[in-house]
Amino acid sequence: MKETTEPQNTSNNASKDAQLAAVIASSVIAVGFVIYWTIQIQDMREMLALAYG
Amino acid sequence: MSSRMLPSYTRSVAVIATIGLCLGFAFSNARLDTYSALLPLFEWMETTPFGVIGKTWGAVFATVQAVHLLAMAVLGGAILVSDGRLLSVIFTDVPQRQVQDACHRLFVWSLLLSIITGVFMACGVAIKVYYLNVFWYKMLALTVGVVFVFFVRRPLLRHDIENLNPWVLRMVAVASLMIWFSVAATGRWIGFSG
Repeated sequence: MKETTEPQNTSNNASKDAQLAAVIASSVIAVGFVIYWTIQIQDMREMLALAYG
Repeated sequence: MSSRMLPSYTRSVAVIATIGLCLGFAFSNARLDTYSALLPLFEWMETTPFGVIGKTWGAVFATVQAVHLLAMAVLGGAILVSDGRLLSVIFTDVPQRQVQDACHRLFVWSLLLSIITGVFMACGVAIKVYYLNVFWYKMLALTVGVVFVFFVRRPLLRHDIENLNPWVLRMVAVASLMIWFSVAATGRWIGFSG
């Protein structure tokens, strides 16, 4: 019994770890993306306002 | 307890540590010091045969640029298809594993080709791109994208995809699209700058 469940547990733990890592990395990328492009779009709007009023 | 818990969350801990290190680097003097230290490398790049060919023969530069853009198009296609499948938007009748493996192979080859041609192109205009902020944003996005694919996305998809949380898969797909959109957009921006 133990021989069959242990590899399964290890696999489940590895899967949970990979999923948690993916959630953390994806969240940070999404936050970085929103911050970067918000700043770029704001800067562009300011430049357009300076150029064309 | 902690010694039993830590090995099972090694990847998550590594991701958090990497993010911490990157933030520490970004908000410290190390970033400016590294930027200054890289100037001689970029000056040297322009003097290499690649730099001389890129600056002297416009036709060679244009041909390499065409290959670079084709490689980027294939790379973008591979990403759109694999992320579209993860989001269950396209190729829903083809097994996940088949789509992901085929797209990953295509991704690796197109990435290699775009990096090789990209280095050649950068040699021709090394000093110009060194002073462009958007070039550094592209390099940052590219590095994050590559690290994300090989250390987060691919290891996740090696597990039985059907047993993974679908929301995690969607998050990964959206993050992947965001990061590669940024690589493409900042890359195009370099062409419009200077």
